[in-house]
Formats: sequence, C-alpha cells, structure tokens
Amino acid sequence: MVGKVTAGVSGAPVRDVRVDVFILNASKLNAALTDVQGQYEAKMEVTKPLDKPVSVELRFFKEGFEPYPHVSIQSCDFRSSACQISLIQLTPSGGSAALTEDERAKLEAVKSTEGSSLFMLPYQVVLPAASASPINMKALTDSLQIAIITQIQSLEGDRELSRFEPLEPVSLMAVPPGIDVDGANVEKIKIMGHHLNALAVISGNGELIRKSNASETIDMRSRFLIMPTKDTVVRQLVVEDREVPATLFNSLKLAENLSPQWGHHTLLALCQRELEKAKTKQVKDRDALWRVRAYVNAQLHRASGDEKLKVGDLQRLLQQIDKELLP
Amino acid sequence: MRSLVAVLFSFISLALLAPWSWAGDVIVGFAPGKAPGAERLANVEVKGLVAEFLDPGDTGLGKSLAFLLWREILTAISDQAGAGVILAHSPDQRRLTDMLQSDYHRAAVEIARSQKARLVLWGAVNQAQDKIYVQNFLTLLPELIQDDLRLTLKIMERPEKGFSVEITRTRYNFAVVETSRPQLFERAIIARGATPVRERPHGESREVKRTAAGEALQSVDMEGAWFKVRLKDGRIAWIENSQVEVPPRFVYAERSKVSLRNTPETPAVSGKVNLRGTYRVLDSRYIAGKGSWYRLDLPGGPGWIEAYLVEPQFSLPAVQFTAGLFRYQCRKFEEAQKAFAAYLRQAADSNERVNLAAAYQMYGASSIMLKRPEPEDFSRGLAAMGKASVLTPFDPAVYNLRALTRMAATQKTTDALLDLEKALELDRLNSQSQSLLAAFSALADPSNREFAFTREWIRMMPQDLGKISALQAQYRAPSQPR
Repeated sequence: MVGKVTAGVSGAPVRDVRVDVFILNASKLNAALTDVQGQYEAKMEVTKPLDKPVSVELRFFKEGFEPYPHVSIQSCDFRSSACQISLIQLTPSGGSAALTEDERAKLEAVKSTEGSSLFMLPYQVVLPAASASPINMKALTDSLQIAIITQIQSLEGDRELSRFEPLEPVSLMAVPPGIDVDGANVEKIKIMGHHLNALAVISGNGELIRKSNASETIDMRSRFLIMPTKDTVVRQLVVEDREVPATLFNSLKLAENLSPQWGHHTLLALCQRELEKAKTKQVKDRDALWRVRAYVNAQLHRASGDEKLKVGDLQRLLQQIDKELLP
Repeated sequence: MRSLVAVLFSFISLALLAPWSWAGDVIVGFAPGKAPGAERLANVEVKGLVAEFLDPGDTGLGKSLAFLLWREILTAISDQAGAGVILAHSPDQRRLTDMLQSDYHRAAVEIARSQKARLVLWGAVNQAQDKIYVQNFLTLLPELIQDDLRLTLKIMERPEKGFSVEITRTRYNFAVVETSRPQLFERAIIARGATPVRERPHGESREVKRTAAGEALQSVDMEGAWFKVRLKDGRIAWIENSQVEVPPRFVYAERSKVSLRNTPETPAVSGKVNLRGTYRVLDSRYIAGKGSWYRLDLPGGPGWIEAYLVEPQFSLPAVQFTAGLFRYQCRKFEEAQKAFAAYLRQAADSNERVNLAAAYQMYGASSIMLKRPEPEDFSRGLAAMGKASVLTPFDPAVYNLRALTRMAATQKTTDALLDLEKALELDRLNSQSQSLLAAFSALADPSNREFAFTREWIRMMPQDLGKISALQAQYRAPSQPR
C-alpha cells in the first residue's frame, strides 16, 4: 500500500508519520513511516492472488498533528490503492507553549497528588444563535467521569482480575479558569499536564445539529492527550461521540450514551502509568505488572473482530508488559 | 471504603417453596462499619441473592421489582435441590437510595459475601411516563463458586485431571430492558395457603377475604412487597408477595400433539394441541409426584399442561441466565442447557456481545457436561463455542473451552491443540491455557502413569507430540501471583 501525507494548511509533505495498517479478519498489523517526501509504503504479504476483496484500515499519527482516526479500503488489488492524507497541524505557528507565573500557580493549586486524574479544558460547542441552553460543563465533566468509571469497572468481571485489588478510580477535573490555552496547542497542554501531574488532558469541540424533524443532536470530537511516559505506546487519541441527543446534555443520563472509547483511552493511560511506576521501582513490582496485564487483557477479551485499532493498542501495551515480566 | 454493608434489622421470614428451592429474605441497611448479620439459608449449598434495585426517581419500583425478580428466580429454579435465593431489601418505609452512602455495586457484593451467596442480581430502575427502564447486573463471587463453574473432560463419567478450565466471566452487564407496569405486574399469582387479602398494602389493613390454598388471583400491579389484585367480583385488594407463588406471565413452546388436561390431578387427557409461540399463564400448580403444571390461555380454550414441556418467559432475560448458572452449579446440565438456550433466544437481538459470548460458552459447556452426551450434544457444544469465538475473538477462554470440547467430541488431541495454540498466541501467560498445556504435556509423556487411563481413550497422533513440544518451548511461562 502506498500513499502520501501532507500538512493541511501548507500542503507540505510530512515526514516520520507513523502509518498503521490493520488487515481486517486476519489479526495482522503492519506499520510504516513516511519519508521526506511524505510518502509511505506498507508491505502486505499475500501468498496467492486474492479472490475476494480484503478490508484494511489505516491510521496516521505524528506528534504535533491531529491524529487521523482511520481510513477503510476494501479491494482485491492494493498495488493501485494510493491513499493521500492531509494532517492538521495542532500547534499554531507562533502560539506560545510557555506558562505564565499566574497560570503555574493556578495549576499548582489543583494538581493531582496520585497522578490518577484526567483534566478537562473547556469544550467549545458551536450552537445556533436561537439554541436553548448552553452546555453545562459541570454536567459534562460528571457524565464523562461516570462513563469512564463504569466502563473500566465493567472489566472487573474478568475472572483473572478478581485476584487483584481494583485500580483506584480515576477522577476528572476541570482545568481552572484563567489559563490561556487553545485545545490545538499540544505543546502547552503537555506542559500543563506535567504541572498538573495529569494522567491525560482532554479538550474538544462539538456542534449542535438540528434535524428536519426538530430533534437536535450534538456531534462531539474530543482530543485525549495521554501524558507521555518513557515508553508511551499511544499518546494522542480522538474520541468521537456522534449524534448524541442534545436533550441529554446537562443530564447525567449522558454517561450511558458516551462512546466506549472514553473507558478504553483512560485504561490505556492508567495502564501505561502503572507500568511505568512498576518498572521504575527499585525492585521491579511484579505483582503490579501482573495486575496491569490483567486489566489490559480484560479489555482485550471484550474486543470484537472489527475493533482492530483498539486491539492493536492493547497488544502493543501487552508486549511491553511481557518484556518486563518474562525472563 | 471496602466494607459497606451491615444488617441493621432483624430477619423476618424463611419459607420453603415447592418442591426444592429455598427462599429467605433479609432487611439490610448500608451503614458502613456495622457487623454483618447472621447468615440466611445456612444449609443451602448453591445460594443467590437479589438486592433491592436502586430507585433514584422514587417510583417505588425498586422494591417491587426486587420482590418480583426474587420470586421469579425461585420459580425458575424450583426444580433444583440444594438451591436457594435471598432477597436483601431496606426496611418497609425506607428507600435504599436514601440509605446508600456510595458504591452500590460493592455494597451488593458485600451483602452477598456476608450471606455466603455465590451470585447477586442487582440494578437500577427508572420510569419515564409509562415506560420503565431496568438496568440489571449479575455478579458472581468466584471465591464461593470455586470449582463449580468449570468445563471438565470426562471419560466414562470420570473427570480427567488437568483437562479442566474455568468459565471465566464473573460480572454481567445486561442490556437495559424497556418495559411497563402491566408487562411486569399484570399476571396470575397463586395463593400458597389460606391467606388474608387486604384492603390496603400493609399487614394491619382490614381483611377483605381469605384465599383458598392454590387459588389463582389476577395481579394488576404491585406496590412495595404487595401485589394489587382484582378479585372475581371486581373489587381491588392486596396480598403480600411471600404468600403467593409467582409463575411466569408467559411460556413459549414449539411442540406438537401436547396432551391437555382439564385438571392436573386427573390422568385423563382431554385433548391434544400443537403449541407454536407464546401463551399466557392463567394458573400453576405443583403436584407431588407429578411435578409442576401450567394452565394456559390457548386458542381453543384454557387447558393444563406439564411445565417441563414449555419454556417460561420471565420479566428480564437475566432471570434465565441466573437460572442457568444455578443449574450448572447444581450439576443439572440438561436443565442448564435449556435455561441458556432460553436466554439466548430472548437476548439474541440485544447488543450485549460479551454476555452473549458467555451464554454460548455456558450453553456449550452444559452440552458437553451432560451425563451421557450424544453426538448431537457434541455438535451443539462445538457450534456454541464457535459462536462465542466470533463474538469475542480475542478472548483465550473461548479457545481453551473449545479445545476441551473438541477433545471430547473427537477423542483426539489434534484439533484441540490448534485451539490451545490460538489461546496461547493471544495470551501466552493465560493461567488456564498454561494449565491445559501442562496436562497435554503430561498426557504426551508415556512414563506419566496418572494419564494411563486417558491414553486408552484419547488418540494422540505423532504430529501432536511435536506440536506439544513446540508449544512448551515457545510458551513456557513464569509463575504468577496467586
């Protein structure tokens, strides 16, 4: 499979973009990097000519750019399937990543001591002028927290996990007002996340869509930036909550309608953090490694055959844990 | 805060239901730090618990639903000796929501643990206009279940050491059920004895009449622990739930030439009927020596049939699933198979992939664990494991179970080893796969006398020996914490 990746505004080629290629129904993952011309070539081994179309999915990501969730292609012959992608640069040119003294003090006041908190920047939701009530951030934060905790707790039904104490539940906190940051300024968000000792920082936007039959829905697209650890497998993720009834916003019932990606991404962040902690103890904490492993496995066991991206993330994390556990 | 539960009030009743299963109820509070109360149904081996449902909208349905599900589960397992169900509820005038300080799930589990119940059904109920939404969950306590939820290879009814794997899921989040008050409470209920029917739903209220034992009453609604009934003369009155049997509202059947009777006591057959679909239950009875009977509302007029010929339809699919788990633990595999099949029929259209996979695993395991499985039981078992593997293809447990199923079906190791390889490929450190690998290795070692009997029945091809050595070399695992 070949293709080219360019930057959205300038159209310039982007090098070193990781391209993950998932071959559906074959549990296979290939990866490639773009070259200086922004071109990539991912090889798939096919032993005989394909007699029916095969589905593949591609995902693109590079630090500092909006991750491109995926592209699906179905074909018998991929030699001619070039896939051109335009990535959006996140850090606006000239945008400052530095924190002011005042901002630092504000962050220090709400900093997480345990490192198990997610922090959320204000969402920007585009509402028509005539729209009813604005989005209540407190209700949104509470709903997200309920969704995340419920989704992670549901993993505890895996019998292997019953041998371990559950992970501490994560909390979700709003970044205090008065911090001047754009959701696209990844560098500044990272610095903020570091000061907050955050597990991840969430930012996003939404759009209210009014249908002809007067029902209103909101499409939300959220960035989930995991604070990097030494061996972070996944850092920037996207959660898409599509067509959520607008009436559910400002209500805790929203939690039941949010994407399972919220729990998945939080679990990745938590497990990466726990892995890092277990590895860096003076004597490697093998019990903690087994516990993290059981959580990752529990999530993997629930995956369906078409959740290849999720499975890829989890399998890469498992490989890292096993590297620590196996002689 | 781990220990959330304390029994605050005294126990109120213990009842024996015909013919086998046991019921108990306990009033509980959720104040932390209080000592748990005495165990109910202490002599019952396989015990479950229904916890009062959370009722944030204060509709009163939290209590009623728990009472109803408690009675329905008892009906569902009424043929299981050594099984019982306890209901945990807050005192009459108190709401569970008010008493609950935090973390309802752990509270429900703690109550179950303090009562030594192996499983707990719990949830929450909401009402919006005339629609009722029931969230329902089932949690198993693995430390109490221990080895009673396993698939074990048996040869001539002898369990084969090592060739045994756990059925691994311990928590089930069922799909939200949309229902209504009539769908839940409009049903036939049967008085268990000469019982007062009262003007209002409390014990001090004026007695309207006294029922005869076995009298069928028409329930129209429920409030707390009380059924609201319409008497034959049209008056409305109330009867307390522990005084009645609660048969299913409907039964389902696909059978031809079913014998009908005018009363269950008489041997004379009044006619034959072809049953195709769902039928309303008008009455039910247990006759010593003749089992349970239902009086059904049939197109040609009501008639009595034997209960084992039909499949009961309960208020929530979770009741069938729970009944299946009870029966499996009581080693009644044929009945367990029926319950899981019923669950799969009721829940097939819901979007609860992980639960469906678990139900297929349980259905398949029940088919293989039968006392004398026939070839079609092996086929059913293999087909069920196949469906489970499509639903959760990354779960090694499915392949471990299918390895044993294939071994039982073919009496060979070749196909079983392919499944074990797949399980190890997915998770090389999976404890169940590792223990199966150890059993295969011992089977392949002719000097190991423990497996001499197994070798007489299970054929191991030369290439299988090579495969086992390769798996051992590739997937040797470090020890895990216990």
